[in-house]
Amino acid sequence: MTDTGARVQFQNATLSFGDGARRIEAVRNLTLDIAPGEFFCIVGPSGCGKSTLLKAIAGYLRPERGEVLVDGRASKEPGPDRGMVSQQHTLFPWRTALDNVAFGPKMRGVSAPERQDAATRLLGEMGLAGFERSYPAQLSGGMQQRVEIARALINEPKVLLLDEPFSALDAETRRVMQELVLSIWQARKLTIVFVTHDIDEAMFLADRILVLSRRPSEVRADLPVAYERPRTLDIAASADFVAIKRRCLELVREGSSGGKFALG
Amino acid sequence: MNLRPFVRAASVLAAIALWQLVASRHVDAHFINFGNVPAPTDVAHATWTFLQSPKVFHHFKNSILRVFTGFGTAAVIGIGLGVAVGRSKRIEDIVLPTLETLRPIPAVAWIPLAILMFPTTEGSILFITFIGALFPIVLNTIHGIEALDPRLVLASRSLGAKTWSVLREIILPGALPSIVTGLRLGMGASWLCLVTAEMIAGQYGIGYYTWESYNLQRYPDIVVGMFFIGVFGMVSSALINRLGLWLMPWYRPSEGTT
Repeated sequence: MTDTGARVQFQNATLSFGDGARRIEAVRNLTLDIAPGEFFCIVGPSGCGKSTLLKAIAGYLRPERGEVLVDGRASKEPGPDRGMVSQQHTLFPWRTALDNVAFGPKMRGVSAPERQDAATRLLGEMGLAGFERSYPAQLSGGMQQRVEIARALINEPKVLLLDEPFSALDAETRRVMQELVLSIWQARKLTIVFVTHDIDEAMFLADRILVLSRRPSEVRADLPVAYERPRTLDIAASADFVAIKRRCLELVREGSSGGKFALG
Repeated sequence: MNLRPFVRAASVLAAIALWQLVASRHVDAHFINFGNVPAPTDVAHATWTFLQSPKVFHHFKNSILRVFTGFGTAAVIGIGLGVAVGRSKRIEDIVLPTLETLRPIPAVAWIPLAILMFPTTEGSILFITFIGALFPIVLNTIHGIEALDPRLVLASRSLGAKTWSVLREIILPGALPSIVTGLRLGMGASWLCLVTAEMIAGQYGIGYYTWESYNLQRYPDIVVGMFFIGVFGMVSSALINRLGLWLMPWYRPSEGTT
């Protein structure tokens, strides 16, 4: 278990993807400081640089300019200290749920019985006891995401990156998964960076919400969300929830219409 | 009651009966002549005699060993080459144009040249079975590797996998369904090439036996040879299927798994 999550910083970072003439600037000149242990949500119009931000933290791509730092060190390569969970699961189809989760320890050279014990325990914690021998294709979407989260958590990452992890799930399952992520975050004190296009989801989960503009993305707003935890669905009825949500929606809409100077 | 199994069995029996009829009556329809075609009863008798003869072991052993050697070599080289080409643009540029140029040439078209190139007929037969299996194995391996979801490679690296682990744990298992398809096609091609090469250049072997029977005018034995060629083809393809199921318990194409 990690003592505390990692600090994640962007310093004047410009992020691009693609090659040559088709190179696209996704995020421009971003400066951002995510505190250790913070639950940080990123919202923005679809097609903005939300996912690119996560990929930069994960070390899947390097910034064109500026720096992306995790605990003060530039994130240049993917590594097990930064766990990634994406919308479309990336479980290995040829491994059972148990062996998927045990993959990280296997790469570290942990013995088979030891890593299988750890994976079994973690799958139990995720509510998947009894599914250890199932292959990913035999599991439902929600269960696949649980395995994916467990596979990242077994490496005891200091930051967990979630890229619209529940947007393919039905409303009921999504609610359960949000509770699960919150309980993981509270128990393990890690930093979570969570990308979503669902503002309700962000407000239910986050300490802070970053609203990005259309590509190349810049920060539209950086909003603290100060509700007491544990939060219940009742907060959605409160006046300031409605106010913050309206503000977010306006910012996202401005961002997507391209009307940078349009009035909200 | 389901009649289909009976209809199917009756169909096979009717075909054999028709064969018996045209062969025993020596039907000659001018454009096709059954005068020298052995009847099923003759073939059954010849099969029995063949199975009891001392030569049967030599014929079977030679054919099976040749396929094992030629196909086995093609599997090792084909998968190795396919992985290298699939993973490296540089190696692809060096190797693939030559492979693509040679690919349209059917393996049996190599037979005359193979006889010239190898000091022994055995060598030329092995070469032909090797060439026949090589192309489907290489090309399917390349396809399997290039079709692999790159997100899986990224995921494995973010879980701590390094170059060799990525190859062993992600690339190879990910390409396996396609590799097994290549092996299945390669095995079929290998048998086809073996039988043809044995007919032209062989000594011993089931293809040689079939052709020799024609030359010696032992007509029922021709059909005996054909029968065993079919049996071996069927068994070898069943073995590859078995191998696939054993290697890939997670892969069931009928369920839409990828």
